[in-house]
Amino acid sequence: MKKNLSPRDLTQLSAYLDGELSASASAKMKSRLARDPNLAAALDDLRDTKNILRRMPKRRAPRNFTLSPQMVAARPPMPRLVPVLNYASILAIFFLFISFIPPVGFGAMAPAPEMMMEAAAPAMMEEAPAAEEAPAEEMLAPMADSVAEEVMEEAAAEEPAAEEVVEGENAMGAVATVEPTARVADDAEKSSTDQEAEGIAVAPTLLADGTLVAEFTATPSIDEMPKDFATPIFSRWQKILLTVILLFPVAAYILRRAVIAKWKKES
Amino acid sequence: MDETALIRFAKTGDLTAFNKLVLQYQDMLYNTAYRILGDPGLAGDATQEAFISAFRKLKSYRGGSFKAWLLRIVTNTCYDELRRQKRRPTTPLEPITENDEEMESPQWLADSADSPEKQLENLELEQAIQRCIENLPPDFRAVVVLADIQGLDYKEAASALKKPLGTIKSRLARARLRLRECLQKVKELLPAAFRLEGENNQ
Repeated sequence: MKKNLSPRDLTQLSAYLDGELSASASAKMKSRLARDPNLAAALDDLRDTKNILRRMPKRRAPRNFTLSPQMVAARPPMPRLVPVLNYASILAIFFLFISFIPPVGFGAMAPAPEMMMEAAAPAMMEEAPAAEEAPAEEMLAPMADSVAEEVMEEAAAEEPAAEEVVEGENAMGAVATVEPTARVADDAEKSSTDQEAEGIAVAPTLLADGTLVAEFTATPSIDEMPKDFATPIFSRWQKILLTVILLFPVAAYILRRAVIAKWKKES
Repeated sequence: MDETALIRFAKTGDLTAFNKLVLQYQDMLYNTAYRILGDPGLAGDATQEAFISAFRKLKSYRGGSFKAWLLRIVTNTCYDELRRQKRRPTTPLEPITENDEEMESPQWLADSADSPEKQLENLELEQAIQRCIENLPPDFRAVVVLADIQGLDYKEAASALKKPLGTIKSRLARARLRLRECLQKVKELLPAAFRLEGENNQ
């Protein structure tokens, strides 16, 4: 009987059952129902179905679904340190990546000071023992003029960066008389506490030592030293960056877990 | 306090006010979720999730039927769950009718004043109907659950499901027809219960 009911009739009939037809459509349906027993039977079927569904027992909530403040909070409040640590490690990865780029276009690049440190570090270390060997700086005084040219050349060749050239100019003044050299060295000591000044500190040391190197070329220790620093896998800065990259996220993770654990315990 | 006031307070972040609404609507939401999902555990999870998301997006509620608004959230949560099940289909080891311990909530048993035999009959009938509902496509299922089980009118159902009135109308009609066919088979299994339903309707 329902088989020959058109989809439209079915919809109309179902809406009629729910009292959702307009007054005119409802009246029309009513007269059709009176004439058509098939339609009336279909309506009975629909009504049965509706009643069965309506009589289905209402399931009551097995528990209360009231919310606690913790459930509503998207996540526990995180200490500011967590994002700081994470961003720091991301930044460190960026800098580490850049530090591996060969020093092309030096002056234009942001981490130039680091690169210069890298280049200067071996030189500085290499000449340090030589400096110890030198008994007195006064000895240099007479030779200052002759050595000055060499030092300048060396400095220019090793560090082509603009800053270093400035240092070279400083050196020129320094070499002219001994006292200024000493003053520059003092300045360097003072400024060495400051991180940014380290790059500058290298130059005077190099300068002073460079003079010494010129003098004591025959010293065996000078020949030995470069071997140790010939192929450094990571410079000091790169090691620091690596430490940051490895340790900071771990610290952030541990901190985060601790906070979440505490938060869950409270809720 | 009336509902509008409670909603207004809840909108400002007042959890106590919102929880009053939760207590008022939790049976309705749970029942809807249970009829759509057919599993008490999943229905409980869906209800809880629906209330949490209702509280979070309470600001987006702009008047109208709060009941329909809540029902929309819970049906959407159920749809998500059904989609998730579809992605990772599981085959139950036993038919749903068999694990009656899980199906039955003690609260519901306590409410019924019928004899144990009658209860069993009702339970079997209920489970048979539930299986027929679950055989419907999700869209049809939601319409039938909201209109016939929860008793929403077409307009409310349309706003709860965000579908035009005509769609609700035709889906409900087709869902009823399908259910009728499904129940016809059950009728042979449970003639007594059905005869009773039939008599009451005459």
